[in-house]
Amino acid sequence: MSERLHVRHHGSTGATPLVLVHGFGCDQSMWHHAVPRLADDFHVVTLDLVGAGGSDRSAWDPRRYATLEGYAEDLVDLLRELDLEQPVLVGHSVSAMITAYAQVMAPELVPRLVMIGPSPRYVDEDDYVGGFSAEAIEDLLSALSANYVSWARSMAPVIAGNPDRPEVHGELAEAFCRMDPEVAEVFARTTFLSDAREILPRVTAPTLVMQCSEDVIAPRAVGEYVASRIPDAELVVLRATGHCPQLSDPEETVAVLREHLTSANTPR
Amino acid sequence: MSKSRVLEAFTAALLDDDPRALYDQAPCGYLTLAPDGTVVKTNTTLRTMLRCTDDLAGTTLHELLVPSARVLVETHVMPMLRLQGAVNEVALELQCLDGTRLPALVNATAERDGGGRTTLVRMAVFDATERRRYEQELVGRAEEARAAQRAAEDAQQRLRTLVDTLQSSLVPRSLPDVPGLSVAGAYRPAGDGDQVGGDFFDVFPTDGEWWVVLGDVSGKGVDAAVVTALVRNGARALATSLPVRDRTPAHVLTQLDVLVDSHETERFCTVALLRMRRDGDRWALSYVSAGHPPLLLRPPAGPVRSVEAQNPPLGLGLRHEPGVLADGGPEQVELELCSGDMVVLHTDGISEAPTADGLWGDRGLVETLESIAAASVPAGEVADGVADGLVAHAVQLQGGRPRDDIACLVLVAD
Repeated sequence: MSERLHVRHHGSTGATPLVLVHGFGCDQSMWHHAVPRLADDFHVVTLDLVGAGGSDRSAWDPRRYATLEGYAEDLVDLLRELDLEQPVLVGHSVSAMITAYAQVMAPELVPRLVMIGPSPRYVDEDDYVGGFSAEAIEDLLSALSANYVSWARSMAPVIAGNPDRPEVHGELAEAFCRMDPEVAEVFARTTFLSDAREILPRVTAPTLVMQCSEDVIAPRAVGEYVASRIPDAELVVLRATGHCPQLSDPEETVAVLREHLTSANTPR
Repeated sequence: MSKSRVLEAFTAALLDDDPRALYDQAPCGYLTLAPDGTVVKTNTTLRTMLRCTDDLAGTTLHELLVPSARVLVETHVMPMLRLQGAVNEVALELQCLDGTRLPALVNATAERDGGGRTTLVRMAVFDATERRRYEQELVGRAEEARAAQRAAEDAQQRLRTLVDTLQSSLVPRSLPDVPGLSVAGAYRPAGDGDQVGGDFFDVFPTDGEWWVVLGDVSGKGVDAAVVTALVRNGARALATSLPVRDRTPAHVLTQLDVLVDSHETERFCTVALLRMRRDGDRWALSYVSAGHPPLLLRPPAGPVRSVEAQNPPLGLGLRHEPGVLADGGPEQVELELCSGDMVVLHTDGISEAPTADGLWGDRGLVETLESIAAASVPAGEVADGVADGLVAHAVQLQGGRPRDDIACLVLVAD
């Protein structure tokens, strides 16, 4: 499973393990700015979900990954394989719900959870406000197909100079946010049409919910909803704006994470 | 162009196309954002695209995008900008102020400070209405092509189901239990089995007697299947409805010929008809053939004897030709089966199966029949063994893809 998910280990293996799971639209490069800030104190594990980044493309199956549970099973298998001591599972965006499923599937493997920008349901329904209409999600799928070529291009290895980092000029430049276009379409459907609300009350691990102050993908009301439904959850609202605080404000994100993990080091 | 002419043009451009005009009147929209997505500056081209006069400063990028584009920006474009400083050719839909939507292609670059923090984002926006329309047309065409392909596959599947259904009405899925007789049938359609074959057989009772019908309609397909159904069901109807004294294979054959002749078709049909009566521990058989390969009769110790009862095929109108039929009607042969006697009826798909050195032929068939029948098989399974063995052999001779339909019925008296 480590190979399938293109797992990378950072920092010291003896420290508290943090398993960072990226969401839709990107790959493990999502944690690029956070990892160096965490590596001193934690054993950081990053991975690419099947179909993203450097994962094993041949393992992708449109039926298996048509549900969040399919991704969650991969996480459970990986955690079982890695056999980490009291790991903290950190899920960003849709992967917050993937980690919730994994926690419910194998509570013994997931003693603690951190969710960054979680949303259990993106589409508005009755009294529930997810932030998107069903039409907007259909639009998104066609917007993805309009970007088919650029997604496809993102999968190709890039050899190019980087004006900001002349030292990598001429070498295999790091490719960011890679996602296979076919996978992107199915993953978008899985992500934005999913409804994970029923899993929240079944999460047994203490959970930190990190909510950005202005996030059009996961509005604050949604973060509050998540924190209110998980029995043992704490909500922290970040100053950071947007949907990806680990990129827009890695210092704050890491500081909050570190403080939470050291202040409550023993899981209940 | 002369040097002075170039200088003149350059000076004119400096006057008419100063940096401000170059920005405002650029052939693409410009947009500058603070790192949190707040709009700092726009050019006139962008405002024209968005149908607004306001400079938009202070609004957010998201307000200029349709909801789906916001998702792309937050989950992909912004991360890419923060990670690699630039994105190219992202297709985003803009929300114009008059309520319309504008498909656009966007290139963006991020200005970053020494610590790698994004300080500013610049976007160039190109109207992609026509391009998007064309792409959608292409996508639509591709979807139509896929739909047509699926429809063709569905039609093929329906056809196969139809063929199977039709075929199973021509060859019974299972044969009846006949007291005092082991009956086995085997059938294999020609080629890949995607056409209704012309071979058929049937075994059915009439007041204390048993009838066995096996035939072959010329050609294949639905047209042939119609004639096949006509002969098979006609034989049943005639054998059960004719007055008892007329209920002979010869009489049924005559009436079948009338039936097929009256049917508007170019097809003809060969058929073997057997009527069987239990007579103590024996079977009395009356047999007629209309242009069909001969019946094979094998006593328990062999050898195989072939029995002819030659009459013209059905549907050729030959019964009207003088001299073709004897005055008493079709030739009918009477046979008697004792315990262990075996009767084999088959179509020419077996006897005329092509082999490396010509046709398998009656002799090859008889030899194979002898060797299969002589093999030590439990008594109750001889009929099945021979029927399956003959068909399997004929198929194997043709490399697994028979040229013609193959049908075979084997009867063994208890």
